Amino acid sequence: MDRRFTLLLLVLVVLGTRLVFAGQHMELYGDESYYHIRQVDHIRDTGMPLREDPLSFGGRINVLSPAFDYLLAAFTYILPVQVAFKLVPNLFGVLFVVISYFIAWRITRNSHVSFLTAALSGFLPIYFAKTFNHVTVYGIVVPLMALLIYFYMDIEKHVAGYVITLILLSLLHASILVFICGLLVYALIVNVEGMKLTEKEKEIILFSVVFALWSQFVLYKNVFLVHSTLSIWQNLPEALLSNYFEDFSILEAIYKIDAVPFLFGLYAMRQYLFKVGDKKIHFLIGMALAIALLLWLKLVPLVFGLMLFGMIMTLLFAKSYHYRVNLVRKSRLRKHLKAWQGFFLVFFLITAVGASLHLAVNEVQASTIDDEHEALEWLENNSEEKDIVMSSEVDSQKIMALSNRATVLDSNFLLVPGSDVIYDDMKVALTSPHITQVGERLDKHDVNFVYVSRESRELLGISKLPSVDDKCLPLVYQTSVQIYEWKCKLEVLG
Amino acid sequence: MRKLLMVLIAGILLLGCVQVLRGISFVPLGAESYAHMHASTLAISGQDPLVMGANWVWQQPVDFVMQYFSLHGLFALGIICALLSVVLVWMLLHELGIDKNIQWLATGLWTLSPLFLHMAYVGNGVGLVVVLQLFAFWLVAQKDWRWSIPAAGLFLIASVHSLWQFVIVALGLLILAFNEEYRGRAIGLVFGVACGATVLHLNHLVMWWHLPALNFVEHGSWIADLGGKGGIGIFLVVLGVFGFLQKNYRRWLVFLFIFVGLAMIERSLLHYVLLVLAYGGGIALHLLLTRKWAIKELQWITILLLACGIIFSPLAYARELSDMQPMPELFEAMEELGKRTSGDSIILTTPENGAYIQGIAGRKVVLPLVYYGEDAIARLNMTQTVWRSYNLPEASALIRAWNITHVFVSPDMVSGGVWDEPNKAFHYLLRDSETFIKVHDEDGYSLWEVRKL
Repeated sequence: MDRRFTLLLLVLVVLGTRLVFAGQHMELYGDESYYHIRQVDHIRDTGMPLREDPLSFGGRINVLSPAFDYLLAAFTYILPVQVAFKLVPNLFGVLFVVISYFIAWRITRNSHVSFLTAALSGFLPIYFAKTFNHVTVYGIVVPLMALLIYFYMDIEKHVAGYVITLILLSLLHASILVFICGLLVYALIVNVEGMKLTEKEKEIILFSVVFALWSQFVLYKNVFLVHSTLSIWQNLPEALLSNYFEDFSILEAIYKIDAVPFLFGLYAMRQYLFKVGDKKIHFLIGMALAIALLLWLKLVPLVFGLMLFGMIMTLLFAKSYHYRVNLVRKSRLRKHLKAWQGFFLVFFLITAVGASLHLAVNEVQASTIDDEHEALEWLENNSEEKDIVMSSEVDSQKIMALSNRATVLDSNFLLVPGSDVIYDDMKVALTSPHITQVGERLDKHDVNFVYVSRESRELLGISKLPSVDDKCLPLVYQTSVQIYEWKCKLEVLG
Repeated sequence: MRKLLMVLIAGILLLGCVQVLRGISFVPLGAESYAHMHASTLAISGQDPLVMGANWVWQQPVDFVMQYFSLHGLFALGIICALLSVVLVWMLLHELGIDKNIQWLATGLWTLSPLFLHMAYVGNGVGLVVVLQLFAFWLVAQKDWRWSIPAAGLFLIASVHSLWQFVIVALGLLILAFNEEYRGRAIGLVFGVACGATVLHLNHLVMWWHLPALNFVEHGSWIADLGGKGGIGIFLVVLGVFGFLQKNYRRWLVFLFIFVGLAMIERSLLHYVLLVLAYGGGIALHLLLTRKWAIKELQWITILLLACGIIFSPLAYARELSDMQPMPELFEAMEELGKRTSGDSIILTTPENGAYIQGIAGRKVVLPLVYYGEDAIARLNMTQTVWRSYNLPEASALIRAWNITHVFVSPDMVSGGVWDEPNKAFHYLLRDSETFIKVHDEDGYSLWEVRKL
């Protein structure tokens, strides 16, 4: 079968699967999606991103790069808004499939291995499950980083493509610094191995480092000045940061990036690091080591770090699997090579596709149970425009986007003074059994309603608000979401 | 010489930027400056009348010099030291036979650094020490070895500033020792200065070793672009390391790492990290400008980005300096505080405010910026207990037990400095008119008198 046709078929299968899952619900998943919806709406209305946000933290300055929101907004002029939010993230998703195919081809020059690698990329479980119905910048960052890797591997011919992608990624997200760390680790490995970087490589590495640093300092200068080195951890409250790896287990992580590429990737690392000199593989190993280190130091969000790590392991899989295929080709089993390849194709796809679909089904099911749309509509109809809602950080963007009400905190803590105190106030308000303690926190932030979703309850380990009180804090709405109204005002006697 | 003049003009323009951003005010910036200013007034006596009941004060040799300067004099001293350092870096690199192009690029990088601005505006005396040491190194680098004798004296004076300065002198001399021409005199000087510094510091070690110490001098990160106070620009770090790597100057890289390691412990050594990085950066810039690039299109973009980044760091730091205390409102508050309190008054406030109260208003405080004394921990505990207290009898009992007569509250104290917001903990208790009387309140600065029983 023609290579291009096979690839096109794979792209259509991956896109189709993604869209089938995305079409299960009208609403999008994930808190971040609603942040981007608000940004895109604002760009469509005014042409400018929502920089001064009156609803977040009771009024704050948004410092995140608006490039992704402009990109989405551009699509909404060609497509209906709802369709754009559903389709565009999935188009980015299949872009990753195509790029993976070409990287694998560059490494192995074998169409079967390249096809298998592309298929594994298309069904990389964590990337599939966290981008099929989510409007998230990570959806485009992963394929762009893969594209950078593709261009870098043949930098002699692709300087312009590399530079343009580097600029685009730098404007989109601070994760360009992860790529830079990878480049530096690669340069170190090459040096240790006694190999040499070409003049072009040296120049491109220097340019990449300088441009990435420069662009991030221009975009986030105020963040660095206010939070200093803490900006690396995005000013997250200590309580959130210390729970960073609380639910993390190695086995679960392997499941989420798929065991097959993980094991084959590890094998490639063992085989090539300090043994066989292949700069393309050393480059991928450098990336993998840098991402693992950044994950270990909690410098990248867990989900994003696993996406990137999974991507690199899938690309390393190509080399490792190709090596195995060659071994078989040279052995007595060569007569059965086709059958052998067919068996592994089915086996790999079952594990990867199975894991991806399982995670995706979990997301869909959770969303079906939640049915937050009605709750948010109720909140909008039964509260006043000036009312403030207390919720955990995972619910706030939805409340702001769909109910149009201000919240006390959300998941973006950049440039928020006293983030620890605010987070602590939320935790006390949602988990304390003492109404005076809760009231004090609610009064402090002028809160009128408390919104508790199923996800929040699981996160905080509560089944309902422990301080529920018919007079002061009655439950006014209950489905899978609970909404409480704060009706009292605490006063100091004397 | 024309190039040196250009660099100096660039330095003066940069210094002028701070003045323009800040509005014309000829005073040194930062609490540390005022702590030194206060320390200089009692450098000879060894007693501190402005710290309640304190016998030991924080003194450094530069304080002996600083006592002869007024507030504006200290400001001028900082500026002159910073500009002199530029000339001395130029002279030193010239004397060491560094390529003329690298010499002026390195001097330029020294000047276009946040640390240069910090040296000029934050009058903590380090600028004076740096100038002394650079001059001494220049003397050692002279062809005639006899110039090393006065250099030894200067090194000794600088070493008294702190033992760390001796470490830096020793490291600097060891770098010189790699050149055969300087080896004999460098090793001799290390031994000489080591012996002298030991004798000079013996006195301090015997007196201060056992004393608990408090130090509230704020530093932040040593990378200026990450909000460091007078740190080094990240682009200079990239450029410097690239320069040494390209030339394969591994020895310089080792020294750079040692300097960085030491600078993490003692911030005043950061100037020497800057010197090494400026040299590496000079090499790198020269290479980038003269080498034949494989990707020609990237050459000027990379150089332009680096140049923007290098200029960006001091300009951003200039903006930060423009917001640094003391602002005119603080001076007014200090003037009021001076009027409304007497020489016997003891004021409770933060260590930073304590430095301004001592340096500008000349009044006693409980907790100064730097304090050595048996009761150091007790003072800290008492202050923290009072700030956190919701219990009026407990707080007022502590205040009276420590003979505190006034409480000074500044705007930064009620926005995260002490309390997250106004009217929290002790700030709420201050409302109690039976214990405290508000004697002054303007621009967020308030002074409260403790009622006598």
